[in-house]
Amino acid sequence: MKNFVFALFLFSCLTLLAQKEIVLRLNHTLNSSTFSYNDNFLLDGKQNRYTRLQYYLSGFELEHDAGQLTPLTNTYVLASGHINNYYLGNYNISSVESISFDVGVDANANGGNTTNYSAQHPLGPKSPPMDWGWPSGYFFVVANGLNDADNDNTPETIFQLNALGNQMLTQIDPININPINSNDTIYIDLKVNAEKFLSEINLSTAGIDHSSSATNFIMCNNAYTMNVFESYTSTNNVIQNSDLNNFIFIDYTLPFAPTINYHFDSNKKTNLTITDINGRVHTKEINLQNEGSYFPIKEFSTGIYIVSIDNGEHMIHKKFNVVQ
Amino acid sequence: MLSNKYLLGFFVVTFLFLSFDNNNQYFLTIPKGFPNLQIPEDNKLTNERIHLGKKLFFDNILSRDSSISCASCHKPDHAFTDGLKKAVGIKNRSVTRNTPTLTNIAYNKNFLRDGVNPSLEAQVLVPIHEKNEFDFHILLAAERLKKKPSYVQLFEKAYGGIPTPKLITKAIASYERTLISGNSRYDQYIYQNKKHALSSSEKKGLKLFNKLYCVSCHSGFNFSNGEIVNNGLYEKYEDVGKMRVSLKEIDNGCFKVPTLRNIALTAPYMHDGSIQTLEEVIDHYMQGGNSHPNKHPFIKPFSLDKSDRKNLVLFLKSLTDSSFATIQ
Repeated sequence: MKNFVFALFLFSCLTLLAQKEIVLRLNHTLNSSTFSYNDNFLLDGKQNRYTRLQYYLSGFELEHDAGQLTPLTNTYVLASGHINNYYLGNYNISSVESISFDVGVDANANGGNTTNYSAQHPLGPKSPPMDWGWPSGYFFVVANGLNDADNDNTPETIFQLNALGNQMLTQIDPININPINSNDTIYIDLKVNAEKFLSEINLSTAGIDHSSSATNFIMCNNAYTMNVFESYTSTNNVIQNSDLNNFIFIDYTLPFAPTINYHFDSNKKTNLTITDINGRVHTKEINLQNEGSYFPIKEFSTGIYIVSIDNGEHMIHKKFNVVQ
Repeated sequence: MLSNKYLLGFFVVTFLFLSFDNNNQYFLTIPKGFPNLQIPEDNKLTNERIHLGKKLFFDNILSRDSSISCASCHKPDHAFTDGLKKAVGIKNRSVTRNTPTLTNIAYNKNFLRDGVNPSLEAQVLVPIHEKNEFDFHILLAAERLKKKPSYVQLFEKAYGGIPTPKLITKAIASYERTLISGNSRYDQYIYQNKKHALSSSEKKGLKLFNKLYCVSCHSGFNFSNGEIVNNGLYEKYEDVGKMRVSLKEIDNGCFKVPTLRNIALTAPYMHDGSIQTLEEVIDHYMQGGNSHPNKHPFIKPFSLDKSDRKNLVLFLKSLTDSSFATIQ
């Protein structure tokens, strides 16, 4: 009996050891330059800016180890323009050949309710919200920003496209990839041409559209027809350090509870501190990921605050306002 | 191998747990003529859950500036409506639709004016997040509740946990499931065998109600078939109703058929509160509504003399359940 238990234990350990962590790296770009909120990008002859880009991915399937297919059941990614790395799980996989997925949330999950999940789960309650507050109400793609409607080279007209409805689910055919294998991790790199989500949409007149409209359908469908997602070959398994790409961007969708989007070009953990202008610390978080969207689940009074993020090597600050 | 002592302990604890659960279970009083209500398995009714839900329903704590509660728009004395054309949210912001009644809301299969929300629990999130209503966020609402020891205690008693988004929605849904109204004079006449509960004019109105096409949509014990239809209110709809979500032209101008119970308490009428009185509602249907490709085929012009029109209104007023209007 003891031998059997020991053998079972040994087998379990070996199985776990054989598993590899699968990480999806979404390298967001704007006309092939690194994605950044509030950077101008040209589309259909007009200048535009993203102030928010978020979308769901689901229905993943990996082709690996000479043609084997493994669906990643119940794996959801809430992707943001400024976040590269998404953990897909641990699998007995040695090498990945292609990846396919859907943009959006499958009908089953979309018929659920955000409160069935924790705030940390991609399908849980988010801020800014990624749902309309009821089943079939997840925003599959959220593309918010400014468009240069008056042709003065300065984007000033708000567009806010939040697509919802099962019919928005867009299937992405298998994309061949050149994965980077480290000892225990497989990185799947994709290039995300963020500007292509907005192709063939008149952003000057799009306005605020949280619905299943034809415009939002075009946006979701662009993920397939315009090849928003492409194969990408990264030269490193560690992202290069560059001060230029360290940033904090504040999302004011909820002016009373802004969300802090940050990105450090480093794989070190970061610490986040929020102080008021008198230096009083209101929030302190340690060991956060090097990039993310941080929603301070706390009610702040109206005023000016400073968020500081550091990873032991670099520190960046940003002022933000809270308007109650 | 577990000893008998431990097994006995286990059974005692299990028995006590089950006893506790049964003792606190709340049994709805279902009016005569009403079907049994399906309660979700994961949110069975208990006194504690209903008490918590009711407290949340009437508490301003769920709105961002703590200025309004669910009950600000869903007032009990108006059959859980507010008497306004369109509801008013925090900072006097105008909501885009008329407040729907919560009369027998638990019997509904879909929620909101356009019926796009299929769960009473999920529906709770809508006013909390809606900018023109509470303009708040469910995560912040849960944090706010966690800071109130009295609420922490109530959540613990009701659900055995701290305030979370899921439990907030469950508690409020539990309270709303108790909002059952089935003791109008109509009910007394039809289901309680009280032959004099309705006047002769009201009885004539009832006959008309059945003879005309009213009963085709406003059918059954709750005076609603639950369908989402276009009633010809406009030729062109500013608010496209269900189409807003479905994107299908066939859903343009389609809204849920509301219950007529307590209708005399819920003026003004229609999804946008554009019709002030029951007499004007009847006029709308007598004219056959406005032309619209999606208009329900049953909405056709008909004529009523003054007396019939009056009797029909009197019948509709007999659907008022005065005990419900004073519910607290």
